[in-house]
Amino acid sequence: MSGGALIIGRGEEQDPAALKLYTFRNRNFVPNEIPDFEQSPDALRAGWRYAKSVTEDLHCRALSAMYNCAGMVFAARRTAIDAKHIPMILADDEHRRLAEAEEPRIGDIVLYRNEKDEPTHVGIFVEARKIAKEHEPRTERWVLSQWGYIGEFSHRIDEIPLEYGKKFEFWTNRRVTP
Amino acid sequence: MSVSAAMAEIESRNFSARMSVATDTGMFLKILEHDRTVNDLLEELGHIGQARSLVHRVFALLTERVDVRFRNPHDVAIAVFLWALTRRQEEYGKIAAQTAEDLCVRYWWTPKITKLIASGALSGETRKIEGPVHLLTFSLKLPINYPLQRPDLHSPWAQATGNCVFANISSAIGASPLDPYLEVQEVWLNFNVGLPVMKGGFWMDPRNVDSGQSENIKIAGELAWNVKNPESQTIGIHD
Repeated sequence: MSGGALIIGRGEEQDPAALKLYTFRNRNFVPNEIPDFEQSPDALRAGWRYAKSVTEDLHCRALSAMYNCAGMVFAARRTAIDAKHIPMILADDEHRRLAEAEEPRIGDIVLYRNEKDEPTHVGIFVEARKIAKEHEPRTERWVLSQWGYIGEFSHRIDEIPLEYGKKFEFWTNRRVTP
Repeated sequence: MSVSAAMAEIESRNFSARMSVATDTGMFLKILEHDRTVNDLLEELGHIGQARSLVHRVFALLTERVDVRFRNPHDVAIAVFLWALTRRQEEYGKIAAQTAEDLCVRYWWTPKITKLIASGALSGETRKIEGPVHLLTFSLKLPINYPLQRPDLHSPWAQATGNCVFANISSAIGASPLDPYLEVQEVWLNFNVGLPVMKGGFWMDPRNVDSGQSENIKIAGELAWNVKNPESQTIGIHD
């Protein structure tokens, strides 16, 4: 059978090849598509070189094209989820957006938006580094995120490909903290 | 940049890496629209000869032998070429996309672009239709054995042909709630069909359309596998 034909309901709930992924308390199915094949090692390394051209200070956790950013954050690296579904997942999973003054905690979600306010990218907040630069102490925030279908990197929160936009916000499902 | 230089750049591993930063198809298209090399290629494709040679290049890439363990290394290049052809020479884009659709196994972006081309979503131009046309949308309800197989349409271009001004498949969606105990589930294939208005204001009643036997319109819902009792399909009309 041809692999390229139009799959009916590709990535939808009835698609046996889609991950059975539901939001909190099974409220909604999360449309997703599992890539059939990994990129070749050479192609993945080319992706890494490109990522390094975005920012030198980038640390690679893994190179893979088998999931995207939302697949990393919401599906344990098992599938690819379109960015347009992220608001639905955050709402259903009972996340709340942190206020400007509220400090994020490790594990909170970072959502990036473009100039049209559309969600473009998502990652996990992993570190707040205190640094003293020119006698002015400040905090550098680091994020772990999968860049498209290239790989998973830790990077400064604002050092990302231009396509992801410049705006970001924090989301959490924390309710009780010590 | 010459067309050959633009094609070589688009086929390069570096270009593929740059495009792979896209999170989803929407972002992939946005990156394309702003890419200088792609815009150079678009400019050159105004010449019919260049478009023809690009179609040949797409066919060559589609049939090239590659390492079957991995995603096809030409995935991004073919997706970009199909998109560019459709933008500048739509008929060539459609021909190349139909061929790609049948051959693109182990691809990621290419099937997404061929689907957009088939749906008409990438066409920048509207076609002038001669004479009055009655627009109808209607649906075929098909039972499909979902849990065992992944149903696919043989070709989204070939679904409705015959005595109609235009016809396309607008969506194909599952109609039944997922039930693990129900083997056969229903899928709705939704069509848009433009029918010519006949003399005296008569237009063909879509209820006469059946699963492929009508002399006027052939709805060839060619579900390639696993359609149980295709003759039993019912037609819903949404005028």
